[in-house]
Amino acid sequence: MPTPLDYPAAPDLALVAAAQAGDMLAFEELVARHRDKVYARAFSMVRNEDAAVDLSQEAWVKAWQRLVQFQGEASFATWMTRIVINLCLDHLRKAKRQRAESIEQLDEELGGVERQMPVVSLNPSEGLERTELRKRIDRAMTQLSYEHRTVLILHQFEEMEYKQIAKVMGCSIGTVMSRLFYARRRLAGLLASLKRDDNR
Amino acid sequence: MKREHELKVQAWLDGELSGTEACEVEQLIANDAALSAIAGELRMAKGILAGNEPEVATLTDSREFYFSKIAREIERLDRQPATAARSFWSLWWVRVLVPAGAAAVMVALIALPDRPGTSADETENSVQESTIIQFHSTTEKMDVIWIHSDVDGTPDVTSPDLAPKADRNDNN
Amino acid sequence: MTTIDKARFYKPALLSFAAVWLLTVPATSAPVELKLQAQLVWGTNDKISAEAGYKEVDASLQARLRNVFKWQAYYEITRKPFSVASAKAQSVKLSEDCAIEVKQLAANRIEVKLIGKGRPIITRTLELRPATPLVIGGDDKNNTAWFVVLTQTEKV
Repeated sequence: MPTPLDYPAAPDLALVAAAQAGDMLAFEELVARHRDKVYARAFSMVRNEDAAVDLSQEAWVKAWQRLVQFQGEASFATWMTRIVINLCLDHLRKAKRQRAESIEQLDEELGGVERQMPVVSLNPSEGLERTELRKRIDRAMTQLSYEHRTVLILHQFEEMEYKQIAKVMGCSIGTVMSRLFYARRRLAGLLASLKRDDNR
Repeated sequence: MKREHELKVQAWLDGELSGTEACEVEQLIANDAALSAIAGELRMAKGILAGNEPEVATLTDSREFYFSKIAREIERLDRQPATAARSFWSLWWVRVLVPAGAAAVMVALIALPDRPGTSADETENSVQESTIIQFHSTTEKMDVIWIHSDVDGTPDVTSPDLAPKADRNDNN
Repeated sequence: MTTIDKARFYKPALLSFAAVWLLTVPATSAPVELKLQAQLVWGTNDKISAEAGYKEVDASLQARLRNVFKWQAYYEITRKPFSVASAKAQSVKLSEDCAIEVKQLAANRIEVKLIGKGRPIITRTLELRPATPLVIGGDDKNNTAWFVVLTQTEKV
């Protein structure tokens, strides 16, 4: 007789295998284990708590439907994160279509704005305690458009390569590079201006 | 041309260039102060972000509450006719495993004592089933029925005077 | 056995049978008075000053609600103790717009109907379990929530 699975102690792959065979308890354990990370990624992209909860739950439903496709080539957490990223991008694209573009945003897209940004040479994170730095980064990122914030998140925090980002965002590698370039320069500028405010 | 070089500098920093291309960019940076400054700024921005992803508040919903909505949606989708799923069902092992799995899910949801299901049987509702989540919290020993109010037709149950007295005075 | 003998035999036997039947009939078949309590509770993350006059629910319920729902503070708007002893529905008004109707179906089984603005919202039958409240809730304005908490206080 097979030994019953000890859900809290079982590794992800064992839970996935059980869930693939229809074990909802195993799937629930996976949800409990990874829900915060999935939610956090959704929130970082859409910047709205309710939308992030809905999108993260939708991602779990999709994961259940697609579990048979998970072969273990990446970690389960990475696989789940990719699902929620795609859902967030769909959500953001729909929201963008319904929203009037500001002239500034269009200018960002065309890549003209960052030419006017002075180069930041002094490190704006110097002297900052980590919690404070993370808060400032968070503030700065909310001021980026969703395209720029997304490309930064995908490259910097999800460690995706340019071509992976291009595929996920449905744009060219050149566009990914331009957006990333602008996002980094703008972020450096925003952090520098916060540092200047400190020094006043 | 300058913009193209700037993007190449970035790609060099991100390890996206081949060996030959990387050498070319290094030469460019060595010979161009402006490009060198851009490289410095990009390197610094990368460094600041590395390991400093902003923290996000964790979900406040309990494990059971959060999962109950997922389970409900899965159940709802399982009940739908399979129209778009033909290619999925054409896999022979799916036809064998998934029905067995679905049966196991239904047994687990209904029969097991610690499953998230209340002892409350449904009799009638004036709101759609999809607006109601129902589960038993084993940790808190509570039966919970949650009625979503964001669906059209869900009534507002509370009295308009439910807000604190101070706010009521402000609104009058 | 003669007819008179049969009568002498059967009458005590019938009486004995009746006595045994009466003693062994399950107590659950007779209606039991259930003592219940319904609370209307408001959940919020806003700080409410003491001057507002709202009383927080007891610490035990507060902790349980916090562990399940996302709101941090839970205020008791109304508390109504009542009892249910028969299949006749007992109506309990909790606010202008909110009421519940409870009727007993069996010793520990009740039917609960939530009424909102005069019309039934949901109806559930459930087995009453010791120290296991039924909590019906929904979103309210301004990211707050309402809850109806039904608990069994004692069984007579």
